[in-house]
Amino acid sequence: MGVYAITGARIGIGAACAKMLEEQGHKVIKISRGEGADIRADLSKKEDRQRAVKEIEEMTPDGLDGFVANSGVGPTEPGDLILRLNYFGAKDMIEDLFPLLQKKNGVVLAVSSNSANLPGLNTELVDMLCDDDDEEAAAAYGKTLEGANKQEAYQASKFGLAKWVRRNSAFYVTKGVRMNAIAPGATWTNLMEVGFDDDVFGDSMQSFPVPSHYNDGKVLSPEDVANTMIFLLSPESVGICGAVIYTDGGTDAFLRTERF
Amino acid sequence: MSILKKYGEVFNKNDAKAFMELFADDCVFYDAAPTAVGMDPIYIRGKAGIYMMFNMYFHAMKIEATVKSIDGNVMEYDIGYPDLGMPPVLCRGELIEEEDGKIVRYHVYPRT
Repeated sequence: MGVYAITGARIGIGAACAKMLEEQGHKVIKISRGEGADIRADLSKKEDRQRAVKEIEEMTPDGLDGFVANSGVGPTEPGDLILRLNYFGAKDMIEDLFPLLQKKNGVVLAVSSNSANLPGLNTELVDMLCDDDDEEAAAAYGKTLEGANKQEAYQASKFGLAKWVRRNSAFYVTKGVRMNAIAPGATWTNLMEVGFDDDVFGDSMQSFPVPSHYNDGKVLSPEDVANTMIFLLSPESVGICGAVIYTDGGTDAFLRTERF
Repeated sequence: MSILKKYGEVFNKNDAKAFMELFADDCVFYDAAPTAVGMDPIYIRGKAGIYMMFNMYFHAMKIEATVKSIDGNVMEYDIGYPDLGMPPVLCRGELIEEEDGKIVRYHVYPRT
């Protein structure tokens, strides 16, 4: 059985993925800010990322079979926090765990979002993330965003993460580490629950189309998304590399028919 | 011989293995020149990626780099496709980082 590390494993999609891996008999190292984590860390902070990587190294000296960069917050949170956690918290952890993953020809899965490709993407902010790799500048910009504009930070963080995965997946796999991203759509997690009640984002989040749930008005469950994650972490998905897999009940196909 | 001069010479051999050897193992090659003809930029990390990408190009068609000038870390050149009869792509290459005679980071932009 394998050893996997998951960030944001306490609730939502991360918790569902961790539970499924454990049910398959794997050991799962859960990284989270909250109680019950194997490693408690706030991955929006560089020093916590470095400490978390060190602790994972101590726990798994023989290497990691998989790493899921799942931690993230939604657009209701401050813009600087969104960018630090969703993009840099994920990207830095993947890069720093790369040697440990290489030891076991491991798999990386980054959790992006299907909102990454919706209209309104701030490409300058994405460049600040992916080209400049400047966390402080991005965070300073994020701090200036208020109200509905915080969606800019969320969208750029998720687009940037998927772009980073696509840019680096060929390099990683030539070194033995396969990497993909998943782009969940509307999923009933804490992030969605908070968003539904939000004065600014509530209406738009509640009206987001999910074709596969047209008849029941529901959204996806964390388990719906985690099932895809389990597949992408498994050897059965060996042919998939550098992909951004939409697990959104058909939303992306519906909204962006011509782009795939 | 400067690495940029070598770049032009080795490129014209259309030999992806030789071209790959100009780059460091963990290099970054960013080419925004295709945006001038409405295509997406190319981002390659790692010399294995350099080999894979240019092996595909060099097998698909003959490609020629005509160097116009080299000034410090900047090289202006045209990429031509003699068999396709299309106009050359005008490029401005910037050697961002070099280490031990290998290219660590190289960016290409469209030249007007």
